[in-house]
Amino acid sequence: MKGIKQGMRLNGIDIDIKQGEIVGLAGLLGSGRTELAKVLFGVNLPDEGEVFWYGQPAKIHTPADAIKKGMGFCTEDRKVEGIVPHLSVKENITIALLPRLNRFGFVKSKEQNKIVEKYIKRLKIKTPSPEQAICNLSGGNQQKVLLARWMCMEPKLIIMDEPTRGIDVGAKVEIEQLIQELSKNGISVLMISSEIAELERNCDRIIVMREGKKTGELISDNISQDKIMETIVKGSEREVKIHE
Amino acid sequence: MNKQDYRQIVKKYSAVTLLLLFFVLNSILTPNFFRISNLNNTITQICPMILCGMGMTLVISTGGIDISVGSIMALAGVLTAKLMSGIGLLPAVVISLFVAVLVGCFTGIMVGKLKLQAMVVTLGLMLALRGGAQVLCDGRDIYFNKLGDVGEELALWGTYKIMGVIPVQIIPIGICILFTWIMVEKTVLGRQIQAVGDSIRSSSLAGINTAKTMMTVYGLSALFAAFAGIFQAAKVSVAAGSSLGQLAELDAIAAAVIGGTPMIGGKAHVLGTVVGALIMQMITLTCVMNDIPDQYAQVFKAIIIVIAVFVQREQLK
Repeated sequence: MKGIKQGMRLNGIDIDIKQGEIVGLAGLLGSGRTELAKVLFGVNLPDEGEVFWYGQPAKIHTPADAIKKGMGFCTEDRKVEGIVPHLSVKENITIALLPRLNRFGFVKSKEQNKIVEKYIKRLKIKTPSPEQAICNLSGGNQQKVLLARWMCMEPKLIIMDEPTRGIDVGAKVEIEQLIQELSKNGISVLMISSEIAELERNCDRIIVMREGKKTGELISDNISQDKIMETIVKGSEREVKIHE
Repeated sequence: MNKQDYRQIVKKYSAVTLLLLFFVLNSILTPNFFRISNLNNTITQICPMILCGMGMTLVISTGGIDISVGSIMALAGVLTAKLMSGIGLLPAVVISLFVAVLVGCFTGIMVGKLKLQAMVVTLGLMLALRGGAQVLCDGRDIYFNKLGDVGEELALWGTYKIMGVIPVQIIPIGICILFTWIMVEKTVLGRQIQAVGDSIRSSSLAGINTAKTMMTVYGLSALFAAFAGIFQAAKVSVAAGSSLGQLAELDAIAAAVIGGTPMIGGKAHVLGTVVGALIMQMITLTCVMNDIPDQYAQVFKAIIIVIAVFVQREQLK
C-alpha cells in the first residue's frame, strides 16, 4: 500500500497519515489542532515547514488547491465556515463539485441531481426535498450534508474538526459509522475531537498535541480513555515543572 | 399553513401583486393608459434601469453594492461620442465597453481581493468617473447631430423603431435579462455568485475563488452600465458628462431591492428586479399621466422601497 505522507510544522510538529487510516488529534483547547487542520487545507499558510502529499511536496496555497489534491475539510464552526445557509441542500452538497459539473459554463443538472439523490439516500439525510434551504435542517443533517459535500468529491483525505459537536445522539452514531466506512474505502480521516471517548472508539492512532507540539502518540492497543487523558495531563505537568 | 409559509408567500408575490395593482389602478383611473405610445415610452425609459439593474442584482447578491454605475454610464457614453468621429462607431463602442469592464474588474479586485468596502470603493469611483467623463468632453455636451453620419448612426441606436412601432431598446433589454437569468439559474458561475453572497467564508472553504467571482460580477455590472450609457446617450442624441446616467445607480438599487434580492447578499432575483423596475416606472407613469407633480412620485417610490426592505426583513429572520 502506498501511504500518504504528510510532514509539517506548526510549532515544530510532524505528523503523517497513511491511506485509509483514522488519525485522531487530541489535546486541550488552544493546543493548535484546528490551526494544524487549517494549514493542511490551505486556509492559513505555514511560516515554516511543508506539507507532503504522496511523498511529494504539495504546494497548497488555497482551499481550492487542497480540494484539487483530494482533501475535504469539515470545519468546527459549521454555521459560519461550512454551510451556505440560504442555498438548497442540493447546492450545498455539490458546491465543491461544481467545477467538475461544468459543461461550457453550464451546470450538468441531470448528473447533479443523480449525485445529490445518491448521497441523500446513502447518508440518510432527512430533508423534505433536495431543494430545501439547508438552514432549515437540524444540526446533524447539516453535518451530513457537509460530509456528503466532501464524499461526492471522492477524496483521499477528509479532515473533520469536532464532527459531532451539537448533534443529537442518533446522528452522532451514524456519523461515526460513516467515518469507519470511509476508512474501509481507503479514505484517510484526520479527526479532531474534544470528546475522548469518541476518539477512542474511532481512531487507529491518536496524536496528542499541546501548544502546537506533539506530546504523545498512541497506537491501537494503547488507546484508551485513561491513556489519552494521561498523555494530555503529562504534557501539562511538564509545563508546570518548567514554570516552577 | 403556518406563519412562515405565509411570510414566504407574501415575500414571493408582493412585488408582482403590487405591479398588478398599479396596472388595474391605471386602467381604471388613467385615460389613454392602453395607448401603444405609453408602452413604447415605458420601454425606452426603463432601458438604463433594467440594464444597470441586472448588474446590480448580481452585485447585491454577492453582498456588495455598486454606486458607480451611473458614472460608468456617463464615461461610456462620452467616450463613445468622443472616439467615434475618429475611428468609427463600432470600434468606439468596443473601446468604451472595454474601459468600463476594466473599471469593474478594478472594483472587483478592491472588494474581493483587498476586502475593501464596496460602498466606499464605488463611491470613490462614482466621483472620479463622473469627473473623468466631464474632463473628456471638456465640460460641454457632445451633440450627435454635429458629428455627421456617424452621429446619426449612433442616434439610431436610441431612436430606431422596429417595424416602425417597437423601440429598439427592447433588444438590449431582452438580451440582458435573458443573459443574466440564464447565468444565475443555469451556470456554475451563477451558483458560485450566490454562494459567495450567502457565506463568503463557507464558499472559499469549499474551493470557490471568491476574488475572481467578485471581479466577474463587478465587471459584468460595469459592462451592463456601459451599454446602458451608450443606449441612453443615443436616445437623447447627446453625450453629457455631467448629466448622463445621473442617479441611475439609485434606480437600479431600488429595482433590485423591490424585486427581492436581499441587500446582505444571497439569492439573486433576476425577474424580481425586472418587476421592481416596472413598478418604479409605473409610479412615474401614473403620476405623469394624472398630472401629479413628479415630487410626489419620488415620495411614492421611497415608500415602496421602504416597504420592500421591510418585507425582506421578515423573511430573513
